[in-house]
Amino acid sequence: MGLFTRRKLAEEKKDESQKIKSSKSLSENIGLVKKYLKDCDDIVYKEFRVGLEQKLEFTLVYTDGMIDRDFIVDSVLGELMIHAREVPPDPPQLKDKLFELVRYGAIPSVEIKEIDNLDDAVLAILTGDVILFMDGIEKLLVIGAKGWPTRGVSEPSTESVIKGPRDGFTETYRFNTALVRRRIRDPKLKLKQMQIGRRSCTDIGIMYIEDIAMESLVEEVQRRLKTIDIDAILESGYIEELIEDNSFSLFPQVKFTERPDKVAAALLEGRVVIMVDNTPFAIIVPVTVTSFFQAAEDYYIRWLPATILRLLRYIAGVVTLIAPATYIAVTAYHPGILPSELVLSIAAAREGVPFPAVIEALIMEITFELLREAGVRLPVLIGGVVGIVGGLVIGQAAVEAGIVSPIMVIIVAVTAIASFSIPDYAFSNAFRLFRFLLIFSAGFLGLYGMILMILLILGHMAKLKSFGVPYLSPFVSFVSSDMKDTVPRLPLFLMRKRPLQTVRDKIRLVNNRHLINQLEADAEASNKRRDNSDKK
Amino acid sequence: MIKNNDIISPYQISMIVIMTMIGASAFHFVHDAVARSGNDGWIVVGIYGLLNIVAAWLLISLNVRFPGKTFPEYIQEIIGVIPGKIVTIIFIAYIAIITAYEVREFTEVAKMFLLPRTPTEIIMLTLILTCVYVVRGGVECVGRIVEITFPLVFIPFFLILLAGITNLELTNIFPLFRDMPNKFINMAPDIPHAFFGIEYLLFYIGFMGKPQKAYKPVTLGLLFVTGFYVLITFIGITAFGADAVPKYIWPLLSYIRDINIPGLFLERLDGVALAIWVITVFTTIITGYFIISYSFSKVIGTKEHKQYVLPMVTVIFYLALQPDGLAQLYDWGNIMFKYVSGVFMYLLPILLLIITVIGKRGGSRNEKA
Amino acid sequence: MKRLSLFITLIILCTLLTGCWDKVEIDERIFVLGIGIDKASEEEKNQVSDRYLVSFASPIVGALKEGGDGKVFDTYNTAGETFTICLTQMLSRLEQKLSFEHTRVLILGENLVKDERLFREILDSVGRAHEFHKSMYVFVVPDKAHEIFNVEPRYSKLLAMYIAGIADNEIYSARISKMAAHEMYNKLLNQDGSVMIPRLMAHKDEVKVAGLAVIKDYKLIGYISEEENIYTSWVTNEAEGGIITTKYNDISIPFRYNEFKRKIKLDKVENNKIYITLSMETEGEVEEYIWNKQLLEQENIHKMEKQLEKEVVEQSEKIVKKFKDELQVDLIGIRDYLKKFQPDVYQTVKSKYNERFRDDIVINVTADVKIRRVGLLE
Repeated sequence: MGLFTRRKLAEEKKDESQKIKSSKSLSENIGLVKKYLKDCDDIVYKEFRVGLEQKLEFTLVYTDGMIDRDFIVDSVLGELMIHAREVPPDPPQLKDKLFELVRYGAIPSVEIKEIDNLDDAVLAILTGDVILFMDGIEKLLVIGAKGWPTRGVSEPSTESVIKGPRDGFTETYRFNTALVRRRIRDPKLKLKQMQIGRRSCTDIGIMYIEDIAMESLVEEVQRRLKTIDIDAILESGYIEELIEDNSFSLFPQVKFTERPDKVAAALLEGRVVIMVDNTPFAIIVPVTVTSFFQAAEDYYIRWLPATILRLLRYIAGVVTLIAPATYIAVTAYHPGILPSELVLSIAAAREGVPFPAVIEALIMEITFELLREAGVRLPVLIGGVVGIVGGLVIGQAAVEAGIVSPIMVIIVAVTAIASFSIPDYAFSNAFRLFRFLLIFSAGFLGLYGMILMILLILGHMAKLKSFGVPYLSPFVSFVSSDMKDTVPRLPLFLMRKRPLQTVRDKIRLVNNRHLINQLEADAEASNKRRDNSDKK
Repeated sequence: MIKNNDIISPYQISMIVIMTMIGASAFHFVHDAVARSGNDGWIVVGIYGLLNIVAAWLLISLNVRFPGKTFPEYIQEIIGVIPGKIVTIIFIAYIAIITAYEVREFTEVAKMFLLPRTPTEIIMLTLILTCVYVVRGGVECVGRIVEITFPLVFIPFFLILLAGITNLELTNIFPLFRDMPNKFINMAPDIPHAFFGIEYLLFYIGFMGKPQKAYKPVTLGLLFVTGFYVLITFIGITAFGADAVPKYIWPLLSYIRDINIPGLFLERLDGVALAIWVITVFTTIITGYFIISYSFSKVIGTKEHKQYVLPMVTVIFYLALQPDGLAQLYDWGNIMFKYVSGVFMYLLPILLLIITVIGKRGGSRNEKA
Repeated sequence: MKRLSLFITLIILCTLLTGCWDKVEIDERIFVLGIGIDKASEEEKNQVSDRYLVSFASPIVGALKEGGDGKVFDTYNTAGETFTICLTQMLSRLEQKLSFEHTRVLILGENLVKDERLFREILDSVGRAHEFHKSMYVFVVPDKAHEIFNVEPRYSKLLAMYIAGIADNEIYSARISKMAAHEMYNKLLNQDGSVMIPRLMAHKDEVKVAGLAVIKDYKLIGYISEEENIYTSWVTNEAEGGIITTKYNDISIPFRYNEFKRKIKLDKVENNKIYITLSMETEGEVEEYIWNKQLLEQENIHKMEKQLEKEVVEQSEKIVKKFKDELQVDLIGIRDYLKKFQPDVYQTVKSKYNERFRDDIVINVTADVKIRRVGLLE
């Protein structure tokens, strides 16, 4: 597993002159390493001897549990200890060429690299590589033999689809980049790697397609990533918070995904993807509001149902945002806008409820959010219990006790279901919070307060930019061709251009409709000709 | 690319034109138009609207001579620094008064229909402070918010107008073309009121990369506004009859209130219409508000305009509180729009254009070469 | 800047904590579905200055919910000097707030409509009040308006909805007319204070919308009967459906029409007299004849059509005569036609129009009836 580029970056970080050079003496080297890794009891020092006379002292150092033991036994220990004896080397030559022999001739591993300082060696040990120390030789060999326990590629649980690929990212960085590379076999697909985190040294990869993504965007992403100075990156959320444009906004300004097909699609739209080790969530930048309403499946099913489903999602977004607030504004301020019969039945339902509509809505919404939060953290079995308790509390008991009106229960239920139909979790979180703001403003100034709050939210969204792209585009900075993949999802052959405004190579596909029709016409013509000749 | 580049697109310019001009007065406008021009009001409005396009072209041709510069910047080139600053300050005062007028007119209607007991000050302050938030985002933010609210306003608005189509009596527009000259003359003083907002272009076109590109979007925007006014005047006349319209202060609102759609989730549409109308007022205010704070920063000579946005609240708030009531507000509005608006909309730009052409100022020749 | 933002936050907090000026919870409202306005009689007055007796009908929400028998709406009466005072007086007698957003029917008592001054005041105050939606229906009651609310309808729970529902049946029968408030206002403004308002009559446990009250110069001058209502809707071009009965071969034939058009044409202006033709066009079906006799026959139908045309012309002329001679007010729409399509002619009759209408406008009626279908039997 290739880690050499990564090491290069690490080397750049530390000043070359400050590094401790390895010496010729094995015991001295090992002593230094041991001192360095004092009290790290998971480091294994495997000493062994090689050669007919067993005179050459070698030591393997690695972190237990992070390497592939079988590989070490077969390809390193086996080769050096057993096979090396079968071909007796010429003693006088050996001294000079021992290193070359081992480096190029003895270890059948795909990843071997030589280094000459102990700092890198320690880093490599902690990354999961094996270091081969050889007595009398200054240079050290790094053998890539990573093999820690990993989760296999499985279906992403947060973004499942009915139709479409089922593979998802895992916690292993390298698997993830491979999954993307498998989808785009283009030399222009670039992967720039770096390590971030003083202590964690987490692998970060920036992926982009060179001739689609704007240079300035890639540079900006790199620049922002390089400014990060933190002890550890444990999840891509850390990266998000450290590079986003506006940290105080409720709206997510990057998009997370654990679907490689989504990443590939984003890359092809000229976006930049940041892969982070130890998490299945990749970061896509820049994003706009529309991308949070898009699901991967939209592009795998036919365009008409996809458009309708997407429209449904937008409606769901609006409903989850304004439904409880509208209820308050209408019942407490402007009952005139509803049909008389409906108003009477709402009034009848609310009769006896002791709280004003705002408090009623808050009680129900907070109860619902509590249930949701409790359900997320609990194991599946107990989660069901929460559902039952919640269903009883929200659905029946509260109404029968006269604390809330049944209409409010309907509103909360509709809101909840609508909030689940927004595909993006982070984005629906933002909507959850804005929902409460709207409830307050509707309780304060009715419909007028609600509209002002919506205008504030819109104003905030208009101010936001994600890596230089207006958050609301393409609704703002209007480009009509970009509208084809927003609320509607038009047929592919109509989406000739890439949707993002900031792509370099704009043409995405060439319409083949007329060619298909041409073929049919040709076939018909030839059929006719054949018929004619048959007649003759 | 991460910094704001303070550039607005041609599309945004036409949105600014539309959303500025259609503001608080839209409901009242029908009253004026029919009171002055009777059942031919819609034709008269349409023709005046077309004439305003010509006026807007003059404004643009002035701007084209100073690419990349806004009014407070180039006026100093045309008539000198100190006079330029004085004119700019007068201009700011004028726009501040207009903005305050909008705020007050809105508040009066909102108090009438939405929040009768809420204090006027609260309604005003919440509105102005919401605007402050957007204006602080700079011209780009103004451009974007105007762009995004356009469909939010007009799609539902046209649907609402459509819902009342059964209440229309089309024969009310007859007899056509009687006594046209008088109707045109009667209407003329009210035209600046309806089409105020083209003078805002003096500021906004400066933010376009290429001011030459402004002709088309501004024309389209004005055509839209004219079409809108023609439509609502037409609806007012056909819904009530030319004699009845002037009896209503807000004929359009009355028309929307009369609509009754049984079976729909929303039975009465006036609540929705008012909610939409809040947005049009909001956009009218922010476009004016931005000009005020921006020009003020140019007069003072600072780079940023942000720090002036919040203090300006007091000015607009104070001005908006001045009229005693709706009657005085409309009286003052009549004076303001009849006599003052015309100066800033037509006279001043033409004067400046003449000075520029005679004095051969501006960089238009360089631009051509 | 920080201090400023703190200040603003404080202001917002304060307003939030003390705010909600206009909030009236839906269960604290009484939705008035019907309003009746009368001129207060001497015994109804609480004070000498009282002039109006206003009555409200509003549903009892709790009773609606339970859905049991018994009264589901309450009525309240109050007398006051002005309409607005009457509205606010109720606050001292009820714990809830009256809400007029859903008022469906406005019922005017005969005495009120007969008094020009009071009627104009009411028109103005209802027109000005922003709470009222002008799509509510207006009726005139031959006696006291508040008596309507004593009716406990047999067929429907809520009286106001019941009345509004009857008015909506207008499209099936020309005997019924409906008039939304905004329509009434427009007509009053465009017809110089003359209008016809549907009449509402109360019986023991039902109401009936029948006939029209004729108002001239903001004053009730007479009624048009239920029968005449049909012909009135013909000549005013407001008939949307109904039945004309005629005798053919001694058999009563009901002719059901779904469309009835009245067109006005100016024939000539001669010797200061204006000749006008009202041409009626209607089409529909005959669905009743006599068993085992053929109806579907061109000649038959043609004769029938002639018979119907005669009927239409006769009745229309009768009603036109009534308007011209008895009521002396043009509610037919001649004036509207002249104003819009013959502005020059209109200029000559504009002043003292109603007298000119009586004396100088000669109206001729023609009819064209088409029987399109005859039902399922031949």
